[in-house]
Amino acid sequence: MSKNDTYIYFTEGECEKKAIDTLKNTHLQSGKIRVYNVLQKPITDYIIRQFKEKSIVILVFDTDVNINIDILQKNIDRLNSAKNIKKVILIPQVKNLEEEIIYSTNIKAIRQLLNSKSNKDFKTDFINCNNVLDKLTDANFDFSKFWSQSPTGVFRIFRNDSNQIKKS
Amino acid sequence: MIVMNLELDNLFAFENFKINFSYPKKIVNSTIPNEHLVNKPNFRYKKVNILMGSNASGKTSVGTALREIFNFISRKELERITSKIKNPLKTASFAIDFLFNEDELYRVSFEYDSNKNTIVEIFSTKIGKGDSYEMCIKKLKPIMTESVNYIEKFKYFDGRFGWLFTFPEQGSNFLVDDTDNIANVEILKYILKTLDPSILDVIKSTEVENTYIIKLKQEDLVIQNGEIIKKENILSSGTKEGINLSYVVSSICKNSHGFYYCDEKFSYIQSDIEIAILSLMIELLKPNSQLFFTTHNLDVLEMTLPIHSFTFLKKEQKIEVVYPTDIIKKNDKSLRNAVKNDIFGIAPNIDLLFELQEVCADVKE
Repeated sequence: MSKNDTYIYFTEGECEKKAIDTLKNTHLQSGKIRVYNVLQKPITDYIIRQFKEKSIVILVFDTDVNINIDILQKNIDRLNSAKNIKKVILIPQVKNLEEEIIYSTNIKAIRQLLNSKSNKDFKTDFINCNNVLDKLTDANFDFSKFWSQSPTGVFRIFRNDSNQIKKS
Repeated sequence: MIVMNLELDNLFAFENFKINFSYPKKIVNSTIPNEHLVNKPNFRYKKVNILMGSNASGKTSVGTALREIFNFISRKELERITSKIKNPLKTASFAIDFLFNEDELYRVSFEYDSNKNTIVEIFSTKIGKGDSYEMCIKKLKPIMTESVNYIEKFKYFDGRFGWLFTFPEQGSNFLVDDTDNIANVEILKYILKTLDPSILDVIKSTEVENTYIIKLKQEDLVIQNGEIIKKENILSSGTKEGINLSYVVSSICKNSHGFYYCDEKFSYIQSDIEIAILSLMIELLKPNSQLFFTTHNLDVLEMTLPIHSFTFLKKEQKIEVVYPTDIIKKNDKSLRNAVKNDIFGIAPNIDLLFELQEVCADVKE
């Protein structure tokens, strides 16, 4: 991949957006981030038309849902056939962001990361937190474990390409 | 005139806002040579400031704030500031560091509380031969302490301020009252002919004051007091914008104002022409003067300028400044690529426009 490439992340929600925003530049290839659930919504020409030449599209999606993967597969096929897309990178989260964080830190429950009142409150706390990287570091965050697992079940057909955008 | 630092709280669109115009070290082979006070090379200031950011990120507001502060100080019109307080129940404040020449640095600090009490303080320090801005601010001492109110204090600055602000909605009103004959007909001609190749010539009327004639193949158009006399004329929006721009370039060329804020004047103008005119403005800038230039044109990022010339503004909870030099340390890195991949976190959020597609799908014909 060359330094002239343009990277665009598609993430399911605001928490993933916050996580990528926090990790980009230091741990991850930087890019623009769009909140768009690629498991549920088709990536149409309206969106594809906006990509620059040689765009690299990174799809980040959860694998904890019992969902038909047809839309995701069609999205990947459509992106792969678009002239302005250089590459599609898949990042299946096992099974969601919270579990990825637990797997790559020393916390046992997600509420422990930000001392949230409950696991439910974590999402809001995470989005509003101004020092996520510090909190991850405090919890012995091992970036090599983050986004490192392969999905199972219906999602097992999607490879995990995260190494292509991780900074060594 | 040079502005070195601006802080604003609860004023205009800003909360706890700070923007600084010094830079830490000399750039080798910079295309903006001598970016420091002429005889005090350690006093480095950003001579060229290109402000970029999404819509409503504060580019125009920075200009408006500076203009109103200059007006407040030089015309002693408090209303210029108090009418721009966001929350009247809270104290509003600003502090501005500036200099008129190489001799002295000034700071004006202002506070206006919810009981309408006004506190104005002026500080100053001599700028020594080897001083930097950072050294000088440590030496600032209050002056005019015997004066009881801001009107008395601001008399200290009488007749010393000079500025030229131009905003998108302004039209070509600089020419309305050009009693100092700043507009240069040659500059007007070259810029208008670039913007519209069908223009054959531009001349200044010898019979009517403040009047220019644009000669076209089919007809002549008269610009009188900044207005094109014939309303239904064939000039494009960009060409009309060129009339005002010519005045700004003339002013920089004559160094008539010393401080220039050019806010999004190129919305109707082709990118190569914008870059050429910006480059000309930079070339014409005289020592100890300063240019501010706001734009949405990403091609400007590819100009060979020091990275410190660029400052990004972004608005999330409040307006914030992002200095690319905090992230990119080497001047040979592509700023354009960095912005393209949103390294500075300044890209607009267009998620709603993605959703709009679905909303539109539900709209009945």
